[in-house]
Amino acid sequence: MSWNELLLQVFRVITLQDYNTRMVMLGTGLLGAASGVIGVFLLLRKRALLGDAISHATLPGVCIAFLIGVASGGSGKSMPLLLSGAAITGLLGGLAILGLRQFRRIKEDAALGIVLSIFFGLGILLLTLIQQIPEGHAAGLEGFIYGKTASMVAEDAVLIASVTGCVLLVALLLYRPMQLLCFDEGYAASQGWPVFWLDGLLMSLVVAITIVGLQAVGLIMIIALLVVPAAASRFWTHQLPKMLPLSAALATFSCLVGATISAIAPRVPSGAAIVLIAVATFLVSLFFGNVRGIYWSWRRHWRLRQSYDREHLLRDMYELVELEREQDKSGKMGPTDVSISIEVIERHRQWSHGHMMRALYRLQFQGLMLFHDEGRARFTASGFKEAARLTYDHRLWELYLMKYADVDPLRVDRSADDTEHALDPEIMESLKVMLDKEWNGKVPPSPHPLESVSSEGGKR
Amino acid sequence: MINTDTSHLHSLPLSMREVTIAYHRKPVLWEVNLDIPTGKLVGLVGPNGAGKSTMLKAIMGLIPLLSGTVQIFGKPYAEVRDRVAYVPQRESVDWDFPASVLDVVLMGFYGRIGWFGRITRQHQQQAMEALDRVGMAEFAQRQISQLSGGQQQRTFLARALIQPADLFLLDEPFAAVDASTEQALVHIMRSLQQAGKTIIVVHHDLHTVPDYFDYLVLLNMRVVAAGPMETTFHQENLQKTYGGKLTILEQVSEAIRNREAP
Repeated sequence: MSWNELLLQVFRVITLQDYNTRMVMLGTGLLGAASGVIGVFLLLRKRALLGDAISHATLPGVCIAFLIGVASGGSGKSMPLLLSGAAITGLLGGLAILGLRQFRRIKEDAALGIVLSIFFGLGILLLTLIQQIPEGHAAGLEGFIYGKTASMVAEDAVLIASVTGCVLLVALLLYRPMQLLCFDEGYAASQGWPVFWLDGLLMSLVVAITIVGLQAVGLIMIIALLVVPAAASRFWTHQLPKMLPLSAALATFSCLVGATISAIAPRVPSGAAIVLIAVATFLVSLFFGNVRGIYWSWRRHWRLRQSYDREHLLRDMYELVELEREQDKSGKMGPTDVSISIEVIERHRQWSHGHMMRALYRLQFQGLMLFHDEGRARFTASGFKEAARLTYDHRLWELYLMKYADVDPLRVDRSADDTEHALDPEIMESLKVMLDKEWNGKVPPSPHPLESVSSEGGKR
Repeated sequence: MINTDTSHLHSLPLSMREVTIAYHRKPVLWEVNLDIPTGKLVGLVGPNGAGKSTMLKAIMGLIPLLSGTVQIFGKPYAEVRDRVAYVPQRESVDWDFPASVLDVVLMGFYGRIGWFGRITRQHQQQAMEALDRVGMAEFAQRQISQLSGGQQQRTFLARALIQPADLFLLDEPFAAVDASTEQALVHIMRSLQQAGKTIIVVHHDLHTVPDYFDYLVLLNMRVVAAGPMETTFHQENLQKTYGGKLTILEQVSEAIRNREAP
């Protein structure tokens, strides 16, 4: 295929020029929306693997239905017949798992593994047999395993649209009971909700999605379309009412892009294309999701550390400047005249030189401090003001800890350091009312000797 | 022994007759006979695996009975569901669920509004009042995964408080909560009791049993003893309940010592 032809093909697909393409897009898009919604409930109910076992259990049903079709004289490739077969064994698989679990002699994960492998193994066996008979070779049943949107026709899309429409309607009408079931099964039962039947209904909805998803996504990958967008949406929100449309949107997007890829390159199984796109949206969510994404939590952590460093550095500087000015006999030394060796602060905070310099450059960038080449720094006027404010807060907090929390005066500096960053303006206001009787907002003297900084501090 | 005239039982919040429960043919509760009088604050106490939680679940019909009957206010549970409020164990749910504190409390209305009902402004108002009562009003919008153990327990209690219940069933509400939550829970239970409600609490800290409750049920696969705290909480009964477990016996004797010399 030349580049020109390829571009033409892409253009034809995305502008939905064929009737068939339009219907396939509509069908797969709706499939995405429905599986996105049901997937959220499946995930929150912690039944993702049940969905996987159910979808694998549909294969023998497809094969048996095909064989029945051939035996009764047809080609066997009647879609309603094949999908009914899939639904029957899918449901049987689900019931088998619930049954095995009831016995309790077998753990749930083992029950899932047993049912999945028995049904899928049986399905593969039947499929191999079918491929040896003349009708079977051409039937293309293996398309159900990996998904093949290219083989879909308009009627299939209509079927998908009507089934997913019903599934969505049921899920939204039963939003509240489903939410309660997923969060607190025991409480739901105590309130008289039919927990067993609600679970059965959820399972049936999963079966319905699997059945209509067989052609587009295939029975191996359908579980990914259920679970991956749902898991991805959790990185963006803490609210179920937002999680549902978001998961639906991500799944729809994956389906549409995947089907487009498959339409352009018909040899790519559409199930694989759809799932890979879904996984890509998951990875983006994992890193950039604004609620739980790795990038944002890393950034929040980094910002917090930066602000701690800033506060510590400004306060240490303030105390050193304060000491210098006390020792200055002339009394003419202004707060911005004193320059301090940054090595002293480095040692006090046990910071590396690089750490210190990064913090210092940020303060210089903010116009709060000036840095000289000889390893000394001094305040700007606004820097001193900010440092005085921080020191005021810190010392009030120290006083509070000593007076009301019985913290040892020699340790109070550290305790205050560890906790003061959590002080909000409201708490500071009540501390002011409680403790600031004599200083009127001016920085009170340190309630403990400034030993670790002052002993090595100063200019000389 | 068993009084065949049951008319006097009709007002009782809870009455269990010959109740036996088994999991896979292994009995968990044996022939439980129990009558709880109205307006009591009841401690349901026993060692691990004694069947305390199982008994609460059996009362609500969540576990099938092998034999026997349970009556709540003289009727089967299904008929008086509205009059019973249940607080499950905190660990029984996944707190990472996408919901706010208010969302969880509002779940207490789902049973009453039915399949397709709506949550109204009035429901929200009531939920906020319940949250205020347990000291959680300012956390109403908080995501539940960010709550401490004590806050989780308060949220669950708030969900129970919005029900117009006369019988409260609490499963280990004091397990791993902070001291101030424990005090708040006790305070709320006492005020419920003063309002004429009956409260049954699964509890495992023997030290606090005589302080918190005025009625005691000692359980170890069967009811060892049940009655007012003064006549039931003594060494002999506790020994029968806890068997030969020495460490617990020490705990008990200390609790009794504490009680005798307050």
